[in-house]
Amino acid sequence: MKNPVYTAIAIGVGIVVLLGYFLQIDLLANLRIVLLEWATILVAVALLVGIVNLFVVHFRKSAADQQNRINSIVLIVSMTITLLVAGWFGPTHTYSLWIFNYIQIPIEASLMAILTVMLIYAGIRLLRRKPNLLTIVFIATAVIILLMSGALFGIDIPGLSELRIWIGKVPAVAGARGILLGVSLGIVAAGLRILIGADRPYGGS
Amino acid sequence: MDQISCPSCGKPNSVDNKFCDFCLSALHPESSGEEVFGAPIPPLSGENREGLGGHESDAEAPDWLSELERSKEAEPEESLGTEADEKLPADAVTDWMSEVSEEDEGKPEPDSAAPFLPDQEISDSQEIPHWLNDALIEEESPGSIEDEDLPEIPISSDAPGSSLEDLPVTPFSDETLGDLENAGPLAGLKGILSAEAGAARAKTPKAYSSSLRISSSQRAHIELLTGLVEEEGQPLPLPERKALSQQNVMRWVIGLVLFVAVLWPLVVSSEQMPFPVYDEGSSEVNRLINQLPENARVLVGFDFEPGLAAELEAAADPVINHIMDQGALLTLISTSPNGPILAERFMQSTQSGHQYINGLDYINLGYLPGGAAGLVSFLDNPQGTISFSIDGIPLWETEGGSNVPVLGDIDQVTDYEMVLVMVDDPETARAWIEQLGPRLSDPLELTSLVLITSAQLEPVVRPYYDGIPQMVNGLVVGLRGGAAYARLVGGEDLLSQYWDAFSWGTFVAAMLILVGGLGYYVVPELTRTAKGQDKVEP
Repeated sequence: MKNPVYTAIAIGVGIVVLLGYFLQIDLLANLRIVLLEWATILVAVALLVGIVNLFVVHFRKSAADQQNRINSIVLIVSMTITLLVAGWFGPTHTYSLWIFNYIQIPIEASLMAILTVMLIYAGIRLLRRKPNLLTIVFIATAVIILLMSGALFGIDIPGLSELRIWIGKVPAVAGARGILLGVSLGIVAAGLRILIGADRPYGGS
Repeated sequence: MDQISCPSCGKPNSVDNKFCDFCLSALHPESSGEEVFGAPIPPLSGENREGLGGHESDAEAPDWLSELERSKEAEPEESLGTEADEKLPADAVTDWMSEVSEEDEGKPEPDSAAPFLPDQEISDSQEIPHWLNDALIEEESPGSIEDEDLPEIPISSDAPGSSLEDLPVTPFSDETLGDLENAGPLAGLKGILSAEAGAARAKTPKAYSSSLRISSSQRAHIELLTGLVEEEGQPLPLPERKALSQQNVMRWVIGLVLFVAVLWPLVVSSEQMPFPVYDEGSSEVNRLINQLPENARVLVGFDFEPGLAAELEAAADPVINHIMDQGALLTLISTSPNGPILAERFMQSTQSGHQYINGLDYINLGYLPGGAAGLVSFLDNPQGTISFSIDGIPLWETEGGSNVPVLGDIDQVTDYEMVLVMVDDPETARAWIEQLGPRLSDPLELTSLVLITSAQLEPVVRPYYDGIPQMVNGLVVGLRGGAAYARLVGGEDLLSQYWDAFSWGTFVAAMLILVGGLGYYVVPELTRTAKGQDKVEP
């Protein structure tokens, strides 16, 4: 055990917050609210630390004679300009919105468009290898969902619209519920392991 | 007292002694060597003690040992060198030897049989070589023991030293041990061949060469194997990429076809794609918004990324438009760092026709850090969690409420009439639903939760909408849900542009997968079958 203080703090805070949900005691409820406010502040500070670290790392890369230093230089220049504009004029100013509307959104939307092309290409190549039952089911589901997500020129193919709704409500939801149940059980297990000190992601081994 | 010289060190000893008083060597070789070299010696009886220093044991000595003793006693009487000189040939005598022999002719010969005594004076007439002089000087050193200094001690059976146990123990030198035989019938004798086996003697092991003798064919095989192993470890050069490979051509064709399919409806503006007639989730949202009172307060969460802004903004446009038509006051918040500016963009671009004023009709609270923990903190205690808006406006300066009209007396999340969240991430959606749902489970609570999600999130969110109790009261999914809502309430300007392009895009994508996949699979199969038939026919 590296540092029992960390473990004691984590377990104590976890138990106080957990009891605040179940016991209607003002002291516990107020303590829970205060601890959550502290957590919010700490996460915000961690975000700032991450930004500073990103800047420092890329500043060193740009200063060093490396092959891809141009990427680091672009990042530093972009970050500096954005920080200056948003910090001086405010995040909702026209200049700040211009950066967001004409740089950030088009870049991220372009990445999504490339992803679309790559997914279609992967779907085409999927049948090139020896197709089995699962491959055919996968391709058929994708084609049906795509066709019926749009308007299909107003053409009503009997059964196809119902099939699309059934796929969306039964198989897809069943899989999603399984995932949600697994996630919930995993979260409970992870929380319990932290509460009993078996997991110490905060530093104590 | 008669004296006898020690055969080992040459010192005079009493003739009655069995062992030398100086070096403890046996004065009479016939005395048992086992006694000398530590072999088990029985304790001395009275008779034996009498025999110590006497010659009673001579009678019991075997004949060969007696003869050996007699021959050894007679040996010193022989002149050293005379016999050897006689045998030397005349030409073998060198000059210096001749000179020495001439000088020695006039001098009396020393008694070779007499032991050499260190204290014996050497006359001046006798010339001593310098090496012999040095040796004499060394022997006259203070540490040497002289005969005159040794007191004569009568040996009796009771006197100390009369037994072997009482004798002074002096370690033998290596030379002495090496010369004496210590085992067998010749034990105690000097100058004899060792009885030990030669293999038992310690010696440095022979060094053998570690090099392997191999033939030329074996060497060739080794070189071949080494070459194969080295080739495996070396990276193969990558094949040069063709500028116009089949894959690149296919990707470019897909991209171009999709681009044309999406761009065509925007150019033509024909509005060929009708809006969906009915969507259950959208209809429920419409009902909830219609029930909002005048100046209702609505909390709107902007939790999506800029990459999906087009879909979510288009889906949320008719819904937010409807809410603003109802005169609701909006509070905007986000758990994503990009959310606050996306909210500002949405209000300024799509809802600019409503003339909502920041701080008066809506307020943007900005970024709420901490993920689920921050969200819980805000839902329980908005005043303690966020103090300023994104524009730096202080929110809670008035006692018991806010100085901002939009917030009024908001103290907790259930003071809002509706919570509407625009989300594209499953984890964020789960955080909103699972943290807010239990607070809205009280039947007396009138707050409703509405989600506007990306189409990819529908399977994750729908269980919360279809489940009992219902944790999500209304659901608008993707462009299709937004289009269905737009058909209910009107306001189809933005969605009509997107809906046509979206419908064309999904149709073309489905056709590309279907036709392209079949072409990839069917054409090669047909070709293979045709080739097989050609081979069979001849």
